[in-house]
Amino acid sequence: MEQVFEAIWQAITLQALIMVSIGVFAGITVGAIPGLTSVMAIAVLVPFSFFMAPINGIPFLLGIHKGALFGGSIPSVLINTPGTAAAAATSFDGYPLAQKGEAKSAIQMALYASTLGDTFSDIVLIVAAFPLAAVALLFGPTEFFALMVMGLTIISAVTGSSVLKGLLSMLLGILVGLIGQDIISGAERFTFGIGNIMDGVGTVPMLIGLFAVSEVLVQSEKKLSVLSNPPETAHLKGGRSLELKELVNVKWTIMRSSLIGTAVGAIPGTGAAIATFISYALAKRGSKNPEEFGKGSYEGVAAAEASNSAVAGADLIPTLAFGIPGSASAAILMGAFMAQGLRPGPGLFQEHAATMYGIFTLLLLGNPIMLLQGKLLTPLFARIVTIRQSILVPIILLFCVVGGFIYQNSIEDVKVALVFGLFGYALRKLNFPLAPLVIAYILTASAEESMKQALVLSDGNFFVFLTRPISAFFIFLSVALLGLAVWKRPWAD
Amino acid sequence: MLGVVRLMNRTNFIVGIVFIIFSFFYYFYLIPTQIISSTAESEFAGRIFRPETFPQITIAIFGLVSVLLAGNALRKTGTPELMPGSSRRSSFQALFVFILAVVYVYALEWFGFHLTSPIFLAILIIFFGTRDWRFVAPVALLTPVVIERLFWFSFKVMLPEGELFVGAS
Repeated sequence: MEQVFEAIWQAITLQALIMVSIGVFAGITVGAIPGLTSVMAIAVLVPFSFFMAPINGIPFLLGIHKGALFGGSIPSVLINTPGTAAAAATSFDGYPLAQKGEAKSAIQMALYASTLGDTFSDIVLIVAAFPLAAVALLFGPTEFFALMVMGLTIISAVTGSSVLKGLLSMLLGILVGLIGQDIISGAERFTFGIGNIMDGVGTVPMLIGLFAVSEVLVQSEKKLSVLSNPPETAHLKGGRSLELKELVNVKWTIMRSSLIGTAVGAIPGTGAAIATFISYALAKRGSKNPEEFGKGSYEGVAAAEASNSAVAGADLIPTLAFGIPGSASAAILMGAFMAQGLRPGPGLFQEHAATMYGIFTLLLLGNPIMLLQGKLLTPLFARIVTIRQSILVPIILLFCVVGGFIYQNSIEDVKVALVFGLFGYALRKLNFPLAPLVIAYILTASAEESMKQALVLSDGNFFVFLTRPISAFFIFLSVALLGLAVWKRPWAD
Repeated sequence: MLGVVRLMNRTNFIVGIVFIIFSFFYYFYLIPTQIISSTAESEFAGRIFRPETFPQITIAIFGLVSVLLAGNALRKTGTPELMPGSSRRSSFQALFVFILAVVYVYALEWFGFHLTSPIFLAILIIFFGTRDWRFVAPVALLTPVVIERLFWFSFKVMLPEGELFVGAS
């Protein structure tokens, strides 16, 4: 226990706190820009973390993740333009409140609910990750391979509009992950003699391309009048502050939504949108004033935001404990962990326990920092909503180029980012989800290694995955979930 | 979502067919020619797991799922999938931005960050409809300087100087 406190105290440095603050600020800023998401923000800013020690760099990225989830509520409330599906529920009640002249109190409700939801899920993450990782330590390569198959199957089955497209996206991710040197035999695979990809496709350029460049291209499609004119700002100014009584009135809604957000977020592939809409629906059903929902209910804003932000910590549970990212943002964070020499999975808490205690402490401290920034800087963030996209989009593209370059000081990486940008754009236009692709890409090397080890240990018996009880359970669950998904929703929206 | 939402069974069918062709190409051409091992073939004899095994399994499943995608697109039953549509104008805008980004990256190699970035930003901002020079000029000129200074002072990273100017500074 003494070591834990020592690790925590060593982590709380001025530099680390500043980095968390910058991360939260950057996250809220990007979240406040209509149409931009936390995934894009993390992808663009990941390269910055490489110049920092893990104890500063990782909390910086986690701060972005936190901040962006709250930041998304600002355009939802002010201009009825949610950046993500998850933030859409916030606009149901946030925008009507803004129309009534209560934008300030609506954003404050979103801020408090986000902070409480996020804090709750961070605590669950900290409490759950260590014991789950300890259980995972008992797994051999057979169980790990089966677990990865299950994780990938769930993600593919529940992400996006079509199970088949989710699966194809996941398989495309594996094909990209196979490029480079085979770690066991040393064979070169699909490099076409290009030196830059001998060690595989660079994670950062690929992420920047898939999530940031493709987003820029999607934003570029908007009408020029939308891009070049600032949004309507009639609801920006004035309004009253939220009263403590109003916050107390929704305490049960916030608690229930935090719980739902955490539970749903911990399941790979489900994401914030599902959690938010479940919470919103349950809040409406359990409310004393259900008729106010959709017309400007503070309870509705609280339900949506608490749940939305509670996913932030929860989707790191499978990532850190098992090394299986549950969402695109978790996959990017996993890539950042790996780039910092911290390999998520059960070994992480054994080999880097002190660092992890430090990171968790800073993760928790990010919440009061977000609360403080939200309270003090909301007028500033509200102004960001009004910046013309014709100016923001080019600057973001410039950051994509710079981010790709600084990864290895190479223009070639920028070219890789552009190629993946076009690839990501095409996939998005064809309705293929990107999360299964990036998660599969991140897991390919470990999955192949585990599969090979399992086969070596079993003298090449492929049935080993079905004869060991835990792996058989995971495989059975994968098949059952896939079957259920295909049966229930082959083309469901 | 942008544009008109429309039914895309036909597109799914075409994508499925393209992916099936890609699967054959990958299995019968890429795997035999693009997996290069320095280990003698005799050493792999009898091994169940060779460097090509995992790619073969993956592409076989990929081909199978592609067949299902194409087959499903032919069926008229079930809830049709909704996909974001694109007008010719919006596709042109995205394509223009992408081509401009490619040109910018190649120009970066030769002319460096300082010279190319303001031009790149100015063209994009104007293309997106903001023609007021009170906005265009400060953003295009100051943003690259701020980014360059930020990276230099914070991380000691020098952004591309350009082949033509290397050593000039």
